[in-house]
Amino acid sequence: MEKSIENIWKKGFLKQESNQVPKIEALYNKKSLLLVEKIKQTYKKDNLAIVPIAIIGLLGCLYFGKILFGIYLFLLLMSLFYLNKKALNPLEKLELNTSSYAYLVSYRNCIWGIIKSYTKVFALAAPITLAAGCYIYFKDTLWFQEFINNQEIGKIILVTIVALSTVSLLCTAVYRATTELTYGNYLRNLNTIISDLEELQK
Amino acid sequence: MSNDFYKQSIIPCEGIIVKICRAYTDTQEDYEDYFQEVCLQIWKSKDNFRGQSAWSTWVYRLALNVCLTLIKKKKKAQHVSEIPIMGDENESAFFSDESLNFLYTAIKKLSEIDRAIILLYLEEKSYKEIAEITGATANNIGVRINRIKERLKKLLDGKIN
Repeated sequence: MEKSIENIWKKGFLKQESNQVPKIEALYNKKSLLLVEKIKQTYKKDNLAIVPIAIIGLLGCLYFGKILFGIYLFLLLMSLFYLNKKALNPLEKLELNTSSYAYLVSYRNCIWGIIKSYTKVFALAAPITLAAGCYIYFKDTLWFQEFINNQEIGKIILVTIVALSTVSLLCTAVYRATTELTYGNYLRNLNTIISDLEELQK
Repeated sequence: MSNDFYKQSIIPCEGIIVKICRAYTDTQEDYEDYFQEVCLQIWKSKDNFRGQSAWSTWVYRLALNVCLTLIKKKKKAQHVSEIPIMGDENESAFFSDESLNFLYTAIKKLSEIDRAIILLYLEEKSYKEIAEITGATANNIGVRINRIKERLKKLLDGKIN
């Protein structure tokens, strides 16, 4: 039998036709599709997580009697959800028609476009909406009333500018950190595949 | 991957890659994926080849590593989705030679490392080379090969004349 195993192996492969070797074609098509699918799924899950947060936030605020603030927070988060969903549309429209390279480059450009616009949103819009939120939340408190009534207008403006700038920096940093944490590996994989494809084309 | 590299470095080792990939996959689709991944990794890692062993030995080692990594990934994914790991035995009817198909079916029932050892043995690699590739000691390889052959003998019992 021991001899047989070796013989089966040798004779078997002598008879073997060479057409069993797969052709290396469209090497990266499957890889590209898998990676893009993973990014899409993560993005969708990430976005869907906003809905329960918005609902819990609203219920929490209603429970503590902060109705106006709760509605404001809910609308704000749902707007973010809608904005995210809209941002996904161009990514959904991209199709692997011709080459993996063109597909992945378009995909990467789209993603960077989204990241850039969100960085702007977090740097500019977030502090303003947060300030509005803070105003709604604290406007009836004693310390806030005292601060508005007792301080000079110049000082109020200065404090507001400093607070908004700090919030802007913080929001941008948090957005970058969470993006890196959630999509960092995917984006690095995307870059690696694109570099490989560039190398393959040489 | 340039055509020159493919012709000079991959084609002479295609047989090796086919044999290894076939031993670690159950479906034609997986086999083609593994084959492509191995070729790709050879091309990407070609600069790491220092000439300390034969090119074919280096390809063996790399192909085994790639297949074992892919198997691990697949098992992890299947563990999550709770799909059985082993495929249909009919998928092994890949070669035109019936006995070879039986042998492959039996080899696939071995552990991953035993599969690697028996493939290298059947490719007439020395114990020293097998030990080098698998990271075991040469003495241990001899004992292990005997055990694997015994196991294969039992698995093939009655199937091959």
